[in-house]
Amino acid sequence: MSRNVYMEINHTLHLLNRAALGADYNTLKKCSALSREALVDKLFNDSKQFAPLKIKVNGLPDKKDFKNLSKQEKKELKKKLKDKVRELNTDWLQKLISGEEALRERMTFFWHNHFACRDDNPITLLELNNLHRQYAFAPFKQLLMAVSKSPSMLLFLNNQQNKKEYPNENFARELMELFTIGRGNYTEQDIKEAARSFTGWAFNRETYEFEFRANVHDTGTKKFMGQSGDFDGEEIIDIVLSKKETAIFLCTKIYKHFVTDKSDAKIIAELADFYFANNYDTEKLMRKIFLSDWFYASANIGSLIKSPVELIVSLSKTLKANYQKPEVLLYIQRALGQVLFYPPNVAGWPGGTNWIDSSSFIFRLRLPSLLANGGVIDLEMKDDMPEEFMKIMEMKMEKQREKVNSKMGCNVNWQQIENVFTGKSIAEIASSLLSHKLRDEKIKLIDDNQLRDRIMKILSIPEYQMC
Amino acid sequence: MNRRNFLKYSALASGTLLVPNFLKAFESKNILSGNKKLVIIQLSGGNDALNTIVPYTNDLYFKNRAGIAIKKEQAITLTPELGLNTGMKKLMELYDKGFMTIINNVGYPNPDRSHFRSMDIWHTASNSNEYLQTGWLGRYLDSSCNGCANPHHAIEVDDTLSLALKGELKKAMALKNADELYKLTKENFFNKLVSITDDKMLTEDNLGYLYKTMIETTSSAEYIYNTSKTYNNSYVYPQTALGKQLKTVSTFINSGMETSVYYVSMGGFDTHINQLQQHQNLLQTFADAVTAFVNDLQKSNKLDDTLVMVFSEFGRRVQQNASNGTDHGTAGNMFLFGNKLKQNGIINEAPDLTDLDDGDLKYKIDFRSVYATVLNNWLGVSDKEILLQNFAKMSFV
Repeated sequence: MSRNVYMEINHTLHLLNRAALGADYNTLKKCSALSREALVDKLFNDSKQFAPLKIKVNGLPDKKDFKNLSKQEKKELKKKLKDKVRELNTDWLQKLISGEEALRERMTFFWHNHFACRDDNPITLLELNNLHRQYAFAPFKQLLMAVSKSPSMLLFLNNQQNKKEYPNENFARELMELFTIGRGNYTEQDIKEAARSFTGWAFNRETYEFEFRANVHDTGTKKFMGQSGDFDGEEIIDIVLSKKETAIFLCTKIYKHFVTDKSDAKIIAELADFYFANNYDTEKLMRKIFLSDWFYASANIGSLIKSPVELIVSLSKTLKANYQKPEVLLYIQRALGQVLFYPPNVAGWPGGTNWIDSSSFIFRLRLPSLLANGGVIDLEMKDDMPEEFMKIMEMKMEKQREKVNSKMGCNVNWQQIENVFTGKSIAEIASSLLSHKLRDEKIKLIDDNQLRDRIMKILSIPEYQMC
Repeated sequence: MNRRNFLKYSALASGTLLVPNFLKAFESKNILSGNKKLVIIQLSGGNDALNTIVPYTNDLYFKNRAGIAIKKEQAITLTPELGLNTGMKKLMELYDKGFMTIINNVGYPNPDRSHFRSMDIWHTASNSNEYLQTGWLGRYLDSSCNGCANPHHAIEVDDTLSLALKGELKKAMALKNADELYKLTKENFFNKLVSITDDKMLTEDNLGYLYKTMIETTSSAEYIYNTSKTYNNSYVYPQTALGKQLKTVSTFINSGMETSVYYVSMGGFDTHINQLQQHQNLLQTFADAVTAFVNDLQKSNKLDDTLVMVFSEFGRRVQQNASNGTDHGTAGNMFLFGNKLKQNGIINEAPDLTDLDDGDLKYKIDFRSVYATVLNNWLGVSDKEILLQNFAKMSFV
């Protein structure tokens, strides 16, 4: 129906919010001149390239030399590694903000949460992150296999310790519970048997490359999900992927992340059939979602609460924010409860209303004003106020702005933002920033004289927290 | 312009806060279980239990910890077997009055040695192979605080809210400073948004949830600010972060706030290197602050209704490491403070250093038994609903 015609602006905004973590006004404008299919094509084409995230590892000694370091040197190295993980964090966040390969980065962010992992080694952590990026749209098996063999994950889920004599079930359990098929579709015995199959999956402590240690691998017969054989880890993964329940589990998660957190059994079943029939081809699945009419149903638009990272990225795009002090980005993530590379546990961030508690929510609402306006949202001046008083207020506010701005170190080019919105009504401005249509009473509250104050209020309204 | 005019216009400029009518119905007192207060102190990083409650006559202790053991003459004697770390001298004031309970060997099956995973387990009261998204105190709010309109029924004195205090429907409130939060919420624009929001708009969807949170936070911030300012706390606390947090809690309790759970934490217990002095300092900070808090509440007659519970995510390994520190271990000890303790002093056996699990202490008491006891016997609520399993109850309260 809406194919091959221009999209409504709120549909364009919806797609960009969900598939690209938002967009600045000019991008939105350009994209809204495209049909739904053309925009989906564009998103995939812009992300064709796989550009790995890189950090400078200069100054870090070779991992194999670690043993020979003195205590003091080890301590210094640990601090360096920590700093590098922080650098990794802000580098990635800035890349997300840049909007380059936006859809690929969006998917990387999804897999980052799906395969949540903690590791204090920035090099292996970055490798894992680049696997999520490289296989972002690939058939799921490729991604799963690569992740399962990555040093970060092997270490995090204790597969280094998974040996024939003392099997460690951690990886096998999370593989099924969180990465593939989900609770209720396997037994405790299946976990025990799968753990035996993964014995010997390890990485070399010197080269940090995957290695299969045949001497600690259990070659015996395993009974797994109704089949029996001398299965190794790869065969276990094949069996799990051969179950339709795995496609249902993954599609449910993707649907809840990209469409709406109220799951729809009929749509999910349809998606799972499709994903399963197409060999878990993630690109095909995502195209199907972004092209379907139900994706644009009004109940889905603006139905999700932005995660802190989504909020920071979309807001920074809107403001074209330039962070002079990258560590401020870390501070904001911490205050909002989501720090890239530090998921709370292997289950990832719980999301939804879990993001919202009283104090962090007030900080969320104030974030736009803190980044762009010295923390000032509403400088309520009444026409009947004595001029003398207005002056005092303005001076006070100016002082506060300076103080906050120097703390946040975030440059926002207001001239540029205002140029874009000059001459537009409040409703027009709001419709390019918010997924929800504002009621008249709310528009009235935004009716300031200054364009900047209007924009500030639109960004500070709870609706801006939704996408 | 004179001061009077200034004030007049300032009031005008700051807008007026209108609490929507539907909230008024909920503004009754003590919807939660009576007047009982629970104060939780989290020691983050994994407190070394063996150097906290010291088995100062145990040869195995000295054998395993040649570089960091606390000698008999330095430990403060509690029993012929066990003594307190030197840094916790102050606690003897409470111990002698019967205001302190120590539980040894607290842990859980299949212990996890990762800080954050083990902390999650303590926060959610889950099994170690299970991931719960809600905290045990959050579920307490969910099940016992149906009518509570506002989040201030449990308060964490910090900037961010811990998982322990997040429920499915209800969440506690995190704040460091009542005045600051009040100022943050007292924003013209938010207040105006609140004033045009009625209950029809507070639908079940996510946007409705945001508006509900905004209204509740504004309302709670105002309540906390107005209530807490009625009490001037002149009791002298140590000038430490924990001392300040506990002083805030005392002010809240003494001002008659209807909050039933308070949560504070203190970090630094991850003592891998040269721990002896460092650990002693940490324990002293802890002991001095807690002693001040308990004495303060006793003086103001609020101790009758207050129970303090202290935990850490794990204890540390029995054998010290090569850097005169200790690595992540398993079972640890918990403290309780109050004047209504039915068992005080050390209430169970000392750690058995001859029966270890791969070099780690075996737990004897599941921490969820302690939670169950506190929920059931102190807060007077049904623990099973909250802990999602049945745990044996103890009798310390």
